[in-house]
Amino acid sequence: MSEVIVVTSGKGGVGKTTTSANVGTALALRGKSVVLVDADIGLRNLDVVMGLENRIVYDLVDVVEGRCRLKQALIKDKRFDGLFLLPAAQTRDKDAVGPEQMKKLCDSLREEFDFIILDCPAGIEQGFKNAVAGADRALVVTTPEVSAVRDADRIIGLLESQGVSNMQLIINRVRMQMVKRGDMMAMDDVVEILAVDLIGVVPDDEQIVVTTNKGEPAAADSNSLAGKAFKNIANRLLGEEVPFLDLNVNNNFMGKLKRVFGFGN
Amino acid sequence: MGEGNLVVFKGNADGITVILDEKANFDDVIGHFKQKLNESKAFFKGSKVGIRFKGRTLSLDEQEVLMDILRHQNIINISFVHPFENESIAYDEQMLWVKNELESLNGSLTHFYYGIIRSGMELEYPGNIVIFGDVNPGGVIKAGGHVIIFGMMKGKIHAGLDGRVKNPFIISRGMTPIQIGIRNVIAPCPKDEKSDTDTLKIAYLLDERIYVDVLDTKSVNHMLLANDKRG
Repeated sequence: MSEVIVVTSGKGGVGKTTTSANVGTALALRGKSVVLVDADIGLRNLDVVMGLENRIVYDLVDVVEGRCRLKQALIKDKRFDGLFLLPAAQTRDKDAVGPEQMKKLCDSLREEFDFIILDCPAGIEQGFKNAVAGADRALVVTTPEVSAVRDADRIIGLLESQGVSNMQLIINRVRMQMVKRGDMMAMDDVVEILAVDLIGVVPDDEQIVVTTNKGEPAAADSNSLAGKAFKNIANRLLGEEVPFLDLNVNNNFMGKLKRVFGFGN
Repeated sequence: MGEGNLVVFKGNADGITVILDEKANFDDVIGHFKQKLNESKAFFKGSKVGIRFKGRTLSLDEQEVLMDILRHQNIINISFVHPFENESIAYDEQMLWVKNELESLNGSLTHFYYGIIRSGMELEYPGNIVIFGDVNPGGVIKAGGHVIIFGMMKGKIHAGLDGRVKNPFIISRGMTPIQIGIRNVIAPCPKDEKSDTDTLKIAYLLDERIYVDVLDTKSVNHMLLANDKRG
């Protein structure tokens, strides 16, 4: 049983590509065969995040237009077995493919892989429609900001109207300290507005910037808290019950002192 | 008015119209009708006509008297008696009433929506709207009549767009819309308004201003009484 999962958000810059790369890597680490499809034609960067940019010969548009076979365009990841990337074309735009072609592409990928993860472009135009066309499930990524939540809300409405009813929410870049101070929206508030099941909360992690720039997904790093959160999401996608990470890290002096003396929670 | 004019016979394309005097005593009118009928014996002889009564409102008994006369005469060969005028008046009035009811019903028909009105969605209906779910920021509701939301109101809402709807109101949990409109009055939500999710609130129009109150008999009476006073 293979599953086509679209990672989408509406708003740009909330971490769709990072989520796609990390969840895909985490699934591959669990021994699943995974293909990451970059549906952001013209503004591709999943290849950069995965550190596979220098291996691209053919891309998604070449496959759709029949200039190469599907297998020729798939790039095997250098570190993880069973992880592949189908890059987007950089020289074309969203109109280069249509929803029907994407559906067909997803169906042919289903034969080869357990998970097909589509990195959806920002916005609600052609690129979004293409990416969503063949999806079984949607992961809606948002940050705890009013604007991102607003866009996520719009996207959820559009997904519902496109017939994608299986969707879960990922809240990315959460800063527990700010939430505690009341400066950031709390998880409950976000979930209450969007009324979608939560599948993961990812803490804001400076390390992500580093790993992303290096082209090494954080999910492969066992020390990264964000990487842990992405791994949990992958496990939940596999149907496991995983408790949410405790993000309440006490970083102030008293908290550290308490932990040293074993009073920390 | 002379006595001779109590009953007037008029010939037209579809037969004869008998115009009965409106104010005179019915028995007098009947007498005149019989007399006129006899006088016209020669004129009507052998012809087959439809007959129509006009001019006054006739009770059922009076109608029966006229019909009786028509049945027991051999002067006019009557092929068809048109419905009595007052009957058709009553019928028209009834139709008009039904028509008006239907039109006003347009304002009292209700659209039920099950789910969340999300950002970018717009729900517009000429009647009332009932929503089982939240209205999220960016969602738009437009109703000809009243709106009742069994959820949080956080979007943009306009009720009472149909001017015939009396006392248009909006009821929701935690009334914190981005913008609220009733009839032709539009107002932004006060910035400091806390979204109190547990209490039902009602928004209504009073003296060209929108009031938001906790929904209870007091606020409803306030809305109704104040509007009734203005007629």
